[in-house]
Amino acid sequence: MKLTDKVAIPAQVMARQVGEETVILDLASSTYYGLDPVGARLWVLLSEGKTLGETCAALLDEYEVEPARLERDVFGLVDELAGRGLVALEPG
Amino acid sequence: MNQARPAAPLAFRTHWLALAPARAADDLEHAVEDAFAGEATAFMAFLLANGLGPLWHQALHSRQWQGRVPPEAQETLNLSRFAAAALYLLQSAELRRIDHLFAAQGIAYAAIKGAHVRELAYDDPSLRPADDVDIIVSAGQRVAAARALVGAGFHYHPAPDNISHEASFVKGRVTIDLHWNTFRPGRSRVDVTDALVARRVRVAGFWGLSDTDAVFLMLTHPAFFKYVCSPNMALCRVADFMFWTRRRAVDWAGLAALLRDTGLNSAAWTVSSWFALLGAAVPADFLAQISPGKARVRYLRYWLERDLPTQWFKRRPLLIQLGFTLFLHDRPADAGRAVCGWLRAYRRRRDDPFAALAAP
Repeated sequence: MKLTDKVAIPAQVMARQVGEETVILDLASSTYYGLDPVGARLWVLLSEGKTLGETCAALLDEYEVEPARLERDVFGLVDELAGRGLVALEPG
Repeated sequence: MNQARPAAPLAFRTHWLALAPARAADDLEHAVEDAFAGEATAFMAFLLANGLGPLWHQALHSRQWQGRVPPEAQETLNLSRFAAAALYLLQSAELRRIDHLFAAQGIAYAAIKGAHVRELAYDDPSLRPADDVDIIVSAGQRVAAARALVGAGFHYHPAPDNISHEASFVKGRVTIDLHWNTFRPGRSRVDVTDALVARRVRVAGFWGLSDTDAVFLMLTHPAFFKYVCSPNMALCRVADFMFWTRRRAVDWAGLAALLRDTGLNSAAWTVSSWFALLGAAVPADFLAQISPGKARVRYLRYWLERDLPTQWFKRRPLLIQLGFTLFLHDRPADAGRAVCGWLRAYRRRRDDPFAALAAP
């Protein structure tokens, strides 16, 4: 995974904002997942087509966090989302 | 206490508080104070049972008032909104699939009740939970519609008591209630199902009822299926009416004519009057137009204001059917026809048009 990578959201995945959180539904398995407010913000940025690097930069502006830790957390969450088929990595 | 605040009859005080986020009058702040002044658990249970949890979550969240309710209540509301959003996503995806499926097979349908109303009445349709998705087709297309649903992976769930007018099809967490009669045959003077389908309009990727027909169902369906104000009548239906009548263009004169033709003036008057007791804005001239005679008005008001359908719901349901819902028909002949229709449906409850579709 690189900072220039983007993600695509598969057609069978739907999301809806619930307050500051987000519900993600995988229609293929009828399984749904929840993202906390930070995860929900990451989802919005990724679904706008931003690269992982641009997403990290935007989150750094919005939250007080060490850049290295943020990058680790973003990569970890994207890896988990990809593992569950909720996003597909598009190498940049 | 602020004396200027309107109030519902004592029997409906909790209902009144629960509907605060849906009422036009901005009395939510007082409702939050009153509802959470004491023990919040019972009020929370009431909100959830009435499908109002997500609406309250949104109302508090949008005003940054989460701190005004106990933390456990916040968490419960959050979970209810989360669950409603997840089920909404599933239901709306299935409804759009069914739309394509029915279009391909030439089946004319319309979504009715919650799954339809929420798309047009609410800022966010997922704020309005719906246990199932109700759709209506003409009786002549019911078998084709049922076959299409089974072909799309739904399982038919036989229910002999309702087979005269509706049937349920289930796939995972999504239930489709397929209706081919607006009511149990005999309830209304004329069957309006085909007319409702003919007047359908396109809504957010599927077909739904026209603005006025949607109100026709809101004011008549709960009269017979929910005994107007019994515990079966989730208050989210009252919220639907409040939002819908503020946001949609209802032809009240046309609605009154439809109610007159179907013999359902009294049913709609009773439901409207209960909605008005809870703070809904019902046009006075419409209410006057559909009002039954003075004696029946007094009788039905007596039932409503004391909430007798709730009091007798578990102990004496037959008393409600005989003493209340029969009086919701406009004429004795209408009530007689409804009883005959029920008897006929009871005798034919084993004549299942979808028997071949039931899983072994």
